[in-house]
Amino acid sequence: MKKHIAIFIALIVMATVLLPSLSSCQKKTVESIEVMNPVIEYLIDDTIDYDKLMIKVTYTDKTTEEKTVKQLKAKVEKADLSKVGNASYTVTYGGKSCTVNIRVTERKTPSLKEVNTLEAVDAKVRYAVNETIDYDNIVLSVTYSDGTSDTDTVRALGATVKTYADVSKAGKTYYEIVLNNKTLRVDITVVEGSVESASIIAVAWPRFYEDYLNASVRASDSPEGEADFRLTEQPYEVGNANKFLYRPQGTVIQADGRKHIELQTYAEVAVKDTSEGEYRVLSDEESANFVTVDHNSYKFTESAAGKYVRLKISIDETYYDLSAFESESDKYRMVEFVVIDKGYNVYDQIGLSVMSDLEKQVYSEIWKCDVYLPNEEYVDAEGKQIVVGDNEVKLVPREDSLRLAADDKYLCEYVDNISTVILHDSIILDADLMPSQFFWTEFDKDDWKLTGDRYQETFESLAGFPEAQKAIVGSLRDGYNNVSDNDGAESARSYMRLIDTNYTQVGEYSYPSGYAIELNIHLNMQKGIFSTKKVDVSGNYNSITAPERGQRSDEYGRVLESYADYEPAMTEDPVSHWALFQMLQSRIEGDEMQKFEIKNIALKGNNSYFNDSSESYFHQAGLMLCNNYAKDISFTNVNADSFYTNISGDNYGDYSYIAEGDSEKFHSGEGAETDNATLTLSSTKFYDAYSNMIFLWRSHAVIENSELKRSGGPLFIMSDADHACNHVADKNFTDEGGPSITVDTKSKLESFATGNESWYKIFQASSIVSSLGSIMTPPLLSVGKTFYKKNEQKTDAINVIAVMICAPDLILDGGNPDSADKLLDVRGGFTQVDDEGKIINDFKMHNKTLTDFRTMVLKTGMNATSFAPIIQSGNSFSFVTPPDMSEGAPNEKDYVLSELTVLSGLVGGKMFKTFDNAKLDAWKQGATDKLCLYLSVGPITQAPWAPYVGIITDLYDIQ
Amino acid sequence: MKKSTVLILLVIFFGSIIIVGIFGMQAVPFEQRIYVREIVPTSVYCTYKGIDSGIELEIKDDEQGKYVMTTYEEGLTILIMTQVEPENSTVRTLKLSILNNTPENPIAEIGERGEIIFLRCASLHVRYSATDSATGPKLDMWIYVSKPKEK
Repeated sequence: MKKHIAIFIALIVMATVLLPSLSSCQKKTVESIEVMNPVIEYLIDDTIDYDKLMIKVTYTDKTTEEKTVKQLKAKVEKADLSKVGNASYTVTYGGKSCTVNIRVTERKTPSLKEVNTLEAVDAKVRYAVNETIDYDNIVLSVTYSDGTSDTDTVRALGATVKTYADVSKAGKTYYEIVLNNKTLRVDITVVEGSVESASIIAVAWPRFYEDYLNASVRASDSPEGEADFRLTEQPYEVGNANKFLYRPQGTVIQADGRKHIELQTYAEVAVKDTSEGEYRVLSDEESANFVTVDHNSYKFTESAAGKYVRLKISIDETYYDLSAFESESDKYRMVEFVVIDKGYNVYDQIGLSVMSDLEKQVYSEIWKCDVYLPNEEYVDAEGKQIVVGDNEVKLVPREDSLRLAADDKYLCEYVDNISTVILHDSIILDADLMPSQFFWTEFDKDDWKLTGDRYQETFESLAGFPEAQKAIVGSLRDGYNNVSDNDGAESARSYMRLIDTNYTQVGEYSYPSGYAIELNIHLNMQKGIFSTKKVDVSGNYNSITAPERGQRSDEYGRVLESYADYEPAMTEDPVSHWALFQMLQSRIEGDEMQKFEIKNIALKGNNSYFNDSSESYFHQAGLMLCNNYAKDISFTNVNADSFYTNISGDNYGDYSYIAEGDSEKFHSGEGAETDNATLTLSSTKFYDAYSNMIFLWRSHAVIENSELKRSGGPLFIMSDADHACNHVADKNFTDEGGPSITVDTKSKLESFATGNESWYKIFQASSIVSSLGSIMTPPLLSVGKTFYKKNEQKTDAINVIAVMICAPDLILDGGNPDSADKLLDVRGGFTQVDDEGKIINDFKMHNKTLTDFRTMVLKTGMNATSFAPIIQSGNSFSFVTPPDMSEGAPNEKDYVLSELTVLSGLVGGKMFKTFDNAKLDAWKQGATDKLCLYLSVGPITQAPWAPYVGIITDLYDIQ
Repeated sequence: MKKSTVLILLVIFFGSIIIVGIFGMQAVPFEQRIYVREIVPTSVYCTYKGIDSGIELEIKDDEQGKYVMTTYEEGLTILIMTQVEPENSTVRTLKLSILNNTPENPIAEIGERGEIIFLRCASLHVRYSATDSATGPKLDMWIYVSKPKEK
């Protein structure tokens, strides 16, 4: 027993000795202490509850803790509150001290006078649940019946609290303060969560809508500049496929700068059925069926589609101090828009990618979903076995699939189910947010299966351009739709590599190449970053910009440039076949074909309007704006610059063949005469294309109220692109089956060329421009006309508006190599109409005058080895005799037709005139401000029924 | 004419053809277009009614952009000086817009010299835009205006 007691006592002693030692070992060293939120003013004879003072302790390991004096057992040297004046108290803990200086003021003797008015001054009216109300320090303003007044705290005035507010739960409540005979009631709101006590100095309303208001309006006295949209005040659009996010932010100014907080708001919803109608405010019940409002997001229902909506979005003042706002109008915004059915609201590039319904296989990498090809099997979320249909590509979300802030479901589930992508912000394209399959990689250099061969072809096509060869890896893979072995759908396959974020190959699979699977149509080399069969683009005056040429992405060093044709015709022709958008034709139902529209958007490419031919290879490497295979597409109120070519309008034949999935028939050109595609530019402005604004492979273009200026080559190349080029006289081709343009007189078309520009040099067209000048100047002078314009430097240039040709390769090759006759024929036409639809100029590649004249020319045996231009302006035709007429002076009677007058020419090296002034005047009367030159680029005997090329330019009076 | 003179003329004639053929002629675009890449604010001044010289305000910068701060008094006018890069941009004119003006009670208006004339005490969001392209650079600035301290 004694032994047990002894052991017990020893243990006790050890504990009393050791434990403090242990705790002192664990005890941290105090670096500093401070009193939190100290009161610095007291009334004489007040008392300070030192135990409840909150102290913040900072330790040498930089950790902190907040405890009361009592909890810390800190020592306090107390202040003397018995005298008026300055005083202080000191708190000591852990060897550190903190002194608080205070002021002791006289205690007012509470007045017993009758109170006339009693008001609270700047009283806080918002409290968080369970927040303490400091009643003693609420400031009151009082006027007495004797006319005197005072402003001081509740305590100082001797007022008392009659009713305490209940802050235990959210809602409206109040407190009452009594001073002598007067009771003051103050209403307050108790809210869940924190209350921003600092003053909001400004509201940053969502920039995209402010941008829209700024861009969509132009003062009536302000002239339209190139940066301005042509159409102003087009309605803002919002889709109902996903949420519309409108998140105002409040700005609070702090000592170290400004802070932004997302504000709580509430909305009043008003609706009208048409743009002209009056808004009607919806009741709460009606609103609930129209839109779901949740934390600054608005999800519209199907019933909202087509309606014009006005949201009055107000800042919820219960949460914030808005005393800095003098005007109520600063506390709310009116946001007006029209709801687009199945419109998908886009806030960034990833959201925009949802329009890529024809590139599901590759974009599945970005959307993080599984993809199943035709006839493959998969198990759905309910465990059911599903077989993918023919011509179907199925996206199946998984746990990590992407879902954006505005979306109710996975992003991949919106693909194929939207009508329009609607921008609510401007986007600068990031190559890292595009499928890796779009780009050449180091893998391709290793001769890896089929793509290895393709890389080699590309590399070799850039022989002589080592800088471009170095730039292939990381650039867009041109022509990757095609495979080197292209003998049918089954064997024509592309291999797709799956690459993880470490840029390591993790798998592969193949898919039928060269086909838009769901359209069952074979594609050529053209590619789009965003490729769709049905989705429109609505910009809301926002912009999409390609990063500057040479600007590499952050992570993978990719560029949005493409350096080589897949099948190089010549090393000087490395035309990029990548466009920002690609539209392909699909059928809606029956005979109704999908129509497309791109509108109210600014677009910037990465080609410079450049003329340094030494860098021409790089300037051709940038993006096009749109590659169009659609039958009907409109560009409305689009403002674009700096693309390689703005639009490639690709039309081969009857579009119903596409909808039937018969690509062979489509590409054969069958039916083209009757079913040409139409591309409409309406109130659209294009500037600074490196090549052309529109390249028409057949197709019709309608240009209305638009401005197209400064392209490096002709504004329009209109190619009658039958590569077989077997146009013979008995096939009865019409110009309507070829490429054609109809333009109104409001549109401005300018592409001034001297012929020295790099585009002309690359495509060996320089000599044509200079030759035209030397041949045409004398004849036009004789009618007081010229087609030259001078700039400020007095340089002469010709406005090359359009060139009507067969396939450009065939011009340069000198004809169809497979045809013994080397026939070159061109269909097409350029028509200019006034506001009433009256035709001002109608230039057709086949017309009776041309046909008759050329036949007649041949009868004379003229050796027309050089240009023999026939010119037309309005209804005036003329012929310029070639300089090498060796049969003597032509007999005027042989050449004069009812429509035709010979102007002048060179015979035996001498100028002559074979016409009279009456004919000159008649020519001038019928001429307009446009001129078309029909001229041959080869021996005239090779194509006796039509000229080869039509060139359209301006015609000016000589000043 | 002496033979030597003819020879010299021929040498110059053919020599120039060769030289031009090798080096080419510099092709200057008929209409040169160098786009604005950046708009930079260089200084901001404010004046009030009855004060002739401007007070320079500090341009603050954070991840959300640039801003200045001042207090409101009658006649508050702000002038923002800007610089366009590159210096040889073809179109150097900028457009100044007020983004958060309320039509029913405007905060400020723009004077003839591009000065911003405040009509009441409220903060303002202004924008300078390049006028050479719809996608040209923009400079957004906030002018935070607080009430004057009570005297």
